Amino acid sequence: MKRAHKATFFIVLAIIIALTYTTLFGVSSMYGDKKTVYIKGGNDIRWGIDIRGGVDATFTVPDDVDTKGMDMNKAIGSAEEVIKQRLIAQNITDYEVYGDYTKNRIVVRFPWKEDDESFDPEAAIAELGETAVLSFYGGAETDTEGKPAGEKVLDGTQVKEADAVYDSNQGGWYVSLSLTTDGAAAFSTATKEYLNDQISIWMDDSMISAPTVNSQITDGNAVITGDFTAEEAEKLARQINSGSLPFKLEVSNFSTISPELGLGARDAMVMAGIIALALIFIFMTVLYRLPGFVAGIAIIGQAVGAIACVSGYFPDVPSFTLTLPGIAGMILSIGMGVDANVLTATRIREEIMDGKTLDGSIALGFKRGFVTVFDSNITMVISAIVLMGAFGPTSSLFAKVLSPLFSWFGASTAGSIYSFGYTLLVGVILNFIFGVTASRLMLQSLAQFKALRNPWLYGGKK
Amino acid sequence: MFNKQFDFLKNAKLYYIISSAIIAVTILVTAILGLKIDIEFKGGSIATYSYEGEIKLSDVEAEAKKATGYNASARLSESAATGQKNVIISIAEELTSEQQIKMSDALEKGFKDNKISLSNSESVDAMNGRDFFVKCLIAVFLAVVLMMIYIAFRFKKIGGWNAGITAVIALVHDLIVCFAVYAIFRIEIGGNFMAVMLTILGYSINDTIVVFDRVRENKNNFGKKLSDRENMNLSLNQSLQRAINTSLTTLIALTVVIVVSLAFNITSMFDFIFPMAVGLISGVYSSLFLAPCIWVTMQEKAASKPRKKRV
Repeated sequence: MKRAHKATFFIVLAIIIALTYTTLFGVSSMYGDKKTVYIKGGNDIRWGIDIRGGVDATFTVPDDVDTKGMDMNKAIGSAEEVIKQRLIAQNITDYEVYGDYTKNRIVVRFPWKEDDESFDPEAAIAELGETAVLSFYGGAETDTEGKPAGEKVLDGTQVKEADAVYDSNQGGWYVSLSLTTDGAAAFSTATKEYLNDQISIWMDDSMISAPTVNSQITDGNAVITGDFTAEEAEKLARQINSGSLPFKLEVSNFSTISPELGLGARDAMVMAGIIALALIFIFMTVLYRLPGFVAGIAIIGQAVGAIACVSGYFPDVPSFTLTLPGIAGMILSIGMGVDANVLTATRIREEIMDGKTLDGSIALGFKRGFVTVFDSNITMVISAIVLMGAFGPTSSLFAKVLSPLFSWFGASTAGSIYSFGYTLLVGVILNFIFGVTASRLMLQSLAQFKALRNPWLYGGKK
Repeated sequence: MFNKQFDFLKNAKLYYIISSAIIAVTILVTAILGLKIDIEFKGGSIATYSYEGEIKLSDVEAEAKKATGYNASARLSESAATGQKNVIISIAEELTSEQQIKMSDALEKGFKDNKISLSNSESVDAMNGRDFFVKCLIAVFLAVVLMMIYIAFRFKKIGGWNAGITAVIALVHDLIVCFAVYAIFRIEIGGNFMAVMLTILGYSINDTIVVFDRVRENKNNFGKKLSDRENMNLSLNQSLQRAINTSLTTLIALTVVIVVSLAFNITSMFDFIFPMAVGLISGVYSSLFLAPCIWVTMQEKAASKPRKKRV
């Protein structure tokens, strides 16, 4: 084997320190009050709603909806789009929405908005499931069941844009509509037909207003008035803009977790992580002396690498929601990293006790240790891939391979276990980088220093 | 290197008895006490409200029943760290979000002086939980089968399938021990139960593989000079130090998390790490004592059987 260079240790150490610093604090520059983030830091980690608090809801199609003859895949797909639109309209951008095409369900998850005390999760969820079919009918008469009696003259799809507007002349809020060309033509015909008569405006099954037509409207602008509060007008505009659902959705599951609980847990966990890593470092050094010291550095590198892979540090690795099971995956993989280092350090000690040379012992220790590390880590890869396939987004590669087995279940229960599989897989890869390669480079390099060639430092006798 | 060795394989019967006893106790406890199953799997609703001052549980239950139309049961809890008082309402039926809103409104209005406010709520259709559970089982089963095939392939030299099957027996044993912690300590079985089980699956298989790896290496070095029994015992003595050091280091890390989560009263974290720590210890035990004995027995049985002649 080629002799290692003395500088290698410092290069590897510098890389690990740089990685640690940038992962924890990120890299960004301030230009005036505009912050440009080049590398996302620890604060950018997206904590799962089980840690940070948030909302998890599953929408199902109610039993009384007649879905016969409906293309359900298409309907669920468009419902998914509408829900996404509505989330964005509510200013929730950090959401996950999964359509489950086998069970006709839609799973929605989103964390709490930062610094928003007044946010009402139940109302937000209820709003997501509303059909929001907007329609205009001629006349304001209703039949015996309370349904509109007149003919439908316009519907929500013919509206280009809706806006909540404050009426500064008379006070109060109204919703202004600008219609599509098609809608403008239909509205023009309708306002001509119902001149001096009423046109009623309906949202789902309730009449919102029934203005009297004073003149024919040809420019494609209409307004909905109706004694709205600011919130009501905004909600209506939002619903019209995001389009209507093909059917009403019912919430079959939902959970909300308060952010106070979450954030306390997060801080405590960060503290526990730092203490645990420090203890591992000390313990490894006491047990294995120089190889243990090097192992400690490598394990810190591995832990930091695992964080980098969820925080969106690497441009090619998208940021990932970190849940409790995800942390379990990290613990498991760091445990495997400890094991990899213990295995090699034990082997090196054995070889030295056997009377081999120092360089020979180090080389052999890593070579022998690697076989074991390889086998146990490959079994981890197997389990990580199966879990990611079973619980990941249905479009991922692993999911496609395993789809014959899991297609019956759909994507509904993705989140948490997928997070476990992901951090485990990443951890195993990092294990090969830090636990095996970085440790070897550092130790072989340190062994070139005369002062560090005492066999005692490697577990042998003085 | 061949100095005094501990005979790991001598007390095979004792290990079998200990492990069988643990499994029997687990089954008994589960049968008698049942399991604490989270609504995630059971279905139903649970809502936690923070409040101030004093509150009467029966009033809360009555108000919740009036708002939702279902029987509600309420209990109080207080956080030791922050002093925050909570009332937790559980309902066996799943609530729609409209019903949930109605209940929150009713409580907020009904207990104005207590400043009741919703901090957590969950409503689960039991169907979803069951789906999740079954899906987990299939995923774990698939992963275990694939691992077994991998082990059988990589450890062909030391009895392939025997090694694979032994590793899986040790694994199932550790999962049962981990499950026993849930049953005995009355920890709720919820969404994170699976993550704990999967972590133990990883640790357990890793421990066993490390031992088998040593057996394989000794087989390469000593060939037929060592019987399977001698080889296994030598390998166990060689890997003992590694097993102790690795598990101690990992346990230290887990203990830190347990202590911190107890100090901050984060039960979710404690419920998560504690069974994991016990499963980890079980993994070390099964890889050093249980799996080796089973493997040696299987190998000796296979050797005593006359081999079928290949045509």
